[in-house]
Amino acid sequence: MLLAFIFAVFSGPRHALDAQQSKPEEYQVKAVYLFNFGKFIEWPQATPKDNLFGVCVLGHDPFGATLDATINGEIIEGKKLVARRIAGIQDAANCRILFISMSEANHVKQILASVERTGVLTVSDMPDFTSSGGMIQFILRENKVRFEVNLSAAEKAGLTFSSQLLKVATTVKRDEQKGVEGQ
Amino acid sequence: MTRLRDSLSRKLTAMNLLVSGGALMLASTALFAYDLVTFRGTLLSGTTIQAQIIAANSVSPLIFNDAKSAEATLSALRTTQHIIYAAVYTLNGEFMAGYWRGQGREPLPLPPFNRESGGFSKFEGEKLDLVQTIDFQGKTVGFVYIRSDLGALSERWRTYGVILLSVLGVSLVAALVLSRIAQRKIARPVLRLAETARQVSREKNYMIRAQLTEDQDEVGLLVESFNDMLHEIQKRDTALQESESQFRVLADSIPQMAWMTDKEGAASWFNRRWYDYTGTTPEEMEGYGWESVHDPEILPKVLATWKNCVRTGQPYEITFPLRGADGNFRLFLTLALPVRDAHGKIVRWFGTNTDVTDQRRSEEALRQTEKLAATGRLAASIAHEINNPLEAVTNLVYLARIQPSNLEKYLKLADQELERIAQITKNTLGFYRDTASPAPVDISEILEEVVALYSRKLNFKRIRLQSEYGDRIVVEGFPGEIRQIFANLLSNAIEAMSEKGRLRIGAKQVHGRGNLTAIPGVRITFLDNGTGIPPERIKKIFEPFYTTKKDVGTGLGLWLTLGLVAKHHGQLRVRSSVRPGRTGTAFSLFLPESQEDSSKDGSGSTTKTEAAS
Repeated sequence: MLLAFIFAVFSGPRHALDAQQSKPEEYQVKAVYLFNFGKFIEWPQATPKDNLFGVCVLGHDPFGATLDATINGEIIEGKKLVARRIAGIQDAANCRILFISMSEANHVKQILASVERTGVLTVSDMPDFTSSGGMIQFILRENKVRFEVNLSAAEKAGLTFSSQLLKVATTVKRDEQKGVEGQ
Repeated sequence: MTRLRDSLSRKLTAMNLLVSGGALMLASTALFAYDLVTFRGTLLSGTTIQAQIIAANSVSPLIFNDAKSAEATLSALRTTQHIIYAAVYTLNGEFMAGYWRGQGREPLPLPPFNRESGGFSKFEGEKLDLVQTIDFQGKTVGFVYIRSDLGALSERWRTYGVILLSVLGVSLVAALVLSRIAQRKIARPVLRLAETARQVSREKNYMIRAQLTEDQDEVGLLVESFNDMLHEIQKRDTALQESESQFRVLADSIPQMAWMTDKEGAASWFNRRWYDYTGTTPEEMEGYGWESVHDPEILPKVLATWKNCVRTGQPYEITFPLRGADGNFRLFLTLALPVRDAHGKIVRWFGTNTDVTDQRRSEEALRQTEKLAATGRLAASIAHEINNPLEAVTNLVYLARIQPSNLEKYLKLADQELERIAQITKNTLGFYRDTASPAPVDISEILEEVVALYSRKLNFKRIRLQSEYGDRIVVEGFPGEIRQIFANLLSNAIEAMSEKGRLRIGAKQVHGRGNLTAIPGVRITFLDNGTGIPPERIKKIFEPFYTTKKDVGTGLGLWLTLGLVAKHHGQLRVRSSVRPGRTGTAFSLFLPESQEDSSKDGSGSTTKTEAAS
């Protein structure tokens, strides 16, 4: 009861704290979101024979150890999650979730093209990522980490997004048309 | 009539309303009661389901920290009534999104509970606090907290109330319609019947008939039966009136006076002859008004006898004088019998008064006649009795004259003969010199005297006399009358016998028979072996003018004897046989010892006649 009271008292100032949150905190949230996306997706049957569920970071790693700590012990599709850092797209064979770092912004089109139909979930926080054919793009709104979705890209890859996921997306896009504004 | 109609139709309407309204009330009461009893369970399960739906829809908002999305989910609760507050909390217990019924915007702190149990619910008064965990892939990711109240119940009851009122209204209309129909089909014929019944009883007119109904239902049957009943009553009424008028004519045409009393003995009706004779009016005769025409000296005895009969139900029989309109009393034999109902209970008495004054006078005249006849017979008998000694005296006087030497002897003999004549004369006088009140009578002495009087006749017929009685058998009575009774019975016996007959006379002290059982007295028997009396005649022998000896008898001897026995409150029985070789007649006379405690005048006298074949 006392704990609940404290929560209630400090719930107001929490938003103010969010505004000044440091980069590592932002990526900690993003790391949680990253593997949680996997739980709201129906994965295709044809998947690599790997017993591990790879969560890969392509390019400069903004998460650091946070990612490993976050996904440690988590399981998707009965497989143990494992974090990987890859330097080039050619190493993405064992990846199920691929976070494309801002550092790869210049050749994002080639990267996306190469994994287009491999059933890999593409996530990034670079601007216009969903417009470029990426599936999920982190955005910041009111100092909160939100995301938008390109449903056509996901469908092309054979991934089915749960309505629960689409419900919390800020924007759900289809093809190049202007996406339906989310809630 | 209008008041009646209203009442019956109102009753039908009220009954209809009561039935439909009552059933509805009962059903709704049961429903409300059930709802109230099960409400907590219903509320809990309803709230749980809603919490689970919210929980299922709050997974992704929680995971992706989307308060707006959670709020959107919670806002769906607007359609519910019972939820006051609902909110989604993070795993840490932080408020994330909420819903308030009404104006409130303050998030409630998550109530403390055991997180391991997965959820929690608690009733506080009419409020329910429920916490449901939000689970995702086997892990708890947050909580839903819902607070509910009775809003749902009262809302539902409001709905029920509206339904109930509308159904009640419809039933009321239906009941009114039904009562209209019922009035036409049931009430109206019944009311018509009731009006007919009232008219019949008011006018006492049994010719009226109730109007038949078109329907062949119970009411129709009732009307028909009622008419049948009226018909039957009409028939009986006519018969009763006829019977009544027949009775009146009969009652007024008989020579007797007739009357009726209620079961208590108070007079209710007299025939015309009564009023004509007594010169009274019905008003004067009401109740015990008849007492006024009685002889005041005899009235107490009459009343005592009458009250005794009314109490016991025994037939009333008494003779008393009644004063006529002219102020003279005449003697009436009064008989009355109780009239009983089907259960044997006395409902009234019916009686008659028969004028027996002339009869009594005739009887008295007859008695005088027989007394004169008896005197004549006695005179003849005395003449016979005296004749012998007189002849002897005449002879003795003659002998004395021609044989003076034996004068002394003849005079002595003549003296004896004259003494006999004196004795006979003395005995004869006893018949006529009687006392005015009962006196002690020596039965054996009188028997001796009577036998002596008839000794010549007995000797003449050579009848053997057997006397079986001792000395000093005394009863109270009138000696002359007792002597006459004995003389009659003895002379009858002598006349019935031929030569060498046998006559037995007995007397002994006994108790009476029949209704005189308790009374001590003397029984005197005259037993002869004469011709006997045939059975067909034996019942007539006590009637006046009955005689088998037309040339010598008056036919009044036994009738008079019976009257004398009755005067002494005694009994006279006769038994006779005409069987060849065993013929004979026995008269058995009972005389009570005392004349004092005799209850009724003459009623102690009974005759019993028996004929042995």
